[in-house]
Parts: sequence; C-alpha cells; structure tokens
Amino acid sequence: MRCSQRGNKLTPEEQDLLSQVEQGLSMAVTYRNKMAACDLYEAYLLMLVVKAAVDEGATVEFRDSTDAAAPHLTLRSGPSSIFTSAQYTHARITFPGKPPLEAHVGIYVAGLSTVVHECDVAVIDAEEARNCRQNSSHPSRNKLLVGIECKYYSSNVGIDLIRSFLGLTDELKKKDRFFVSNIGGANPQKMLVKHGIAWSTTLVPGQPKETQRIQGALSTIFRDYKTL
Amino acid sequence: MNDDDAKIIISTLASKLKDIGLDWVLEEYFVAIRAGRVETKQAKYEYWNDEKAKYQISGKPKKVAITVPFTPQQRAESLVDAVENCAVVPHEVAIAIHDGLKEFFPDFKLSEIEFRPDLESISSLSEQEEDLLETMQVYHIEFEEEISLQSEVEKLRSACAALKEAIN
Repeated sequence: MRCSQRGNKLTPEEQDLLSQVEQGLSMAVTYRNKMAACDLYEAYLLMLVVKAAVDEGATVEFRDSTDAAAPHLTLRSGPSSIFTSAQYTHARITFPGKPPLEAHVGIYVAGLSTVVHECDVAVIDAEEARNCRQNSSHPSRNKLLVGIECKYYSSNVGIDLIRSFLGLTDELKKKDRFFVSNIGGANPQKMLVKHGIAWSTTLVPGQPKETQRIQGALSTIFRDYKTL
Repeated sequence: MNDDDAKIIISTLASKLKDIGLDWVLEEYFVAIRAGRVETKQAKYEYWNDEKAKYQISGKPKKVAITVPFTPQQRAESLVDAVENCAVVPHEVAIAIHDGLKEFFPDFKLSEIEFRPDLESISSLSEQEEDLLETMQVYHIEFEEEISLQSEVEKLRSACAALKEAIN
C-alpha cells in the first residue's frame, strides 16, 4: 500500500483493513481466556506425539484412568496428578514386543530432587503409570520417555520462561525434553540452542516445516524406543 | 505508514481487545514492548593501560548487545501479530487437532474436546478462595463450531496480513 505524506489520518484502504480486523476479532474469537488457548496448544502437542508414534508403527488407543476405552477426549485444564479420581483421557501407545507407553497432558512428574514438576505433555512407561495410579504417587523422571513444555503466548515469550525451563531440565533430564511455543523471538532461541535443548518457537499448524521437524524428532525417539 | 498512523492502529486495536475482554493479550503485548528489542552492534572499548596509567580506546571493536525501543510501526505490527495469535492461530490449532485425530482414528467420536480442571484437590475451599474456583471451569472446544468459523477466520487472517503490509 502507498505510504503518503498526509498527517495522522489513515487512508481509506488502511481504515478499511483496520475495520476488517476489528470486525474479524469480534467474529472469530472463541478463546477469550488464555488458559483455553494454552490447553488447546497442549492438546495439539498430544496429537503430534500420537501421530509420531503411529508413523513409527505403534497402535494407539485413547483410554481413561480406569484403563477403559475413552468415549471422547477429556483433558486436564491446568496440571494435576496422574492418580486423580477424575477421569482424564490418555493415549496408550503400543509397539509390538515392547512395554506399552502412555501419553498424558498436564501431569506432575517427580524430578531428581523428588520435588514434583508439571509436564505439559508426558510420555511415560505404562507400568509406571499404572503403579502410580495404584499408589497415588507421581511418575519418576526416569520413566519419562518424552517431556514437552508448551507455551502459548500472544506476544513474544520472555527469557524468564526459558530460564525456568532450563532449571526444569536439571530436574527432569535434558535428553528428549522439548520446549515448544507458538511465538518466540531471537533471544529465547539463542538460549535454547546454547543449552542443547530440542525446541521450536514457531510451532503452529501454519508452519508445516516446523511441525514436521518436531514430529520427526518425536518419531526418532519412538524409533529408538522400539529398537532398543 | 508514518508514526502517527501506526499509533492509530495500536490505539484502535488495543481498545477493541479491551472491549471484548482480551486483556491477557494486551498484558502480554505490553510486557513484550516494555522489554524492547535486542540488537547487536560493534563498539570500541576502553581498556586500562598500565604503562600510561590511563584508559585508552581499543582499536578492535567488540560485538555488544543493546536493547532498543520498538518503533511505532514495529509496535503496531506486533499488536496485529497478537491479534492473530489470539483469534486465528488457536482456531487453526483446533482444526489441526480435529483433522489429525480423524485421520488416524476414523471411528473415534470427535465432536469436541472437554477441558476439565481437577477439582479434587480443592474440594474444601474457604470463602476467600472462591475466586480461584471461578477461574476453574469445565469448557468444551466444539469442532463443528470451529469448522463453521473457518471462513471468518480466513478473512481475519487475510486482513491481518494486508494490514501488516500496509504498516511496513
């Protein structure tokens, strides 16, 4: 669009675009609180985990905490324990001849210090998960195959989030832990690279290359799991 | 677009976000804007010269990090990005979940996802804590509703892209 010397008045074309954005905002927004957008983003990562497992030849079933088939997806809004009596859906991932795995959203995992930490998306050993449900305990970091920290923000994420994630990796191990967000900025990326963390700060459906890259990294973890 | 025009975009969109209850978007926007933009530049450094007992300027410049404020145009573009991130991207995420799961699980009932806070741990709240309970509500993402909104969302995406082009 032409930029003219006209003082502080938008051109009719610019005004029209601004009005379209204003109207579109009213029409399109279904996620009025941040928590909804964050929860949905975690569900998206669960879906990518499931797709990666299926790509590697796994059978996936959605189950509730009684291990019965889940009729629909019920996910946590906010973190809670794996042993809660509330019925949440998890994905049971089975590779032929290998111990089954479970993928959960928003559960606590016990770290190195035995302090518990929220894991936005966690893939854990199914036997550990069952024992934890029976004993009302939190899964150990040693049984955490994949841990994903999901951050959904409307503007660039701050360095403080990366700092706290790096602290979390001291507790939950660095290997096969991911930091993913929909929006980033140069500084978070630099920090994640320097610390050797698997990351994406532009992971949204509109970025298919980035989605494939993260899904590929997850597939590699599952490939190694079924090989070893 | 000049500075004053960019400021009109910012003030109009900020008012709209506030009017429709998207305060969290504005809060995150202000945090990001306050933090500024980090750049690097070459700078000459002074060093202490023992023989001459005084500071001297080093001949070799060093790469240093600096923080600079966003220009009005950059702020306007960031706010349009924020609009996309609250109104366009979550919708695309919902559709991607729907399509992804449907592809692999054709028999799975996929009309909605229920998001449910775990209220077990806070079953006996005091009166003072009841505000917390209000923020912990069960809600559903209805896929049919998401699908029905697709054309509106696409229009908004196009308008945001065109507005960003106009800003720059």
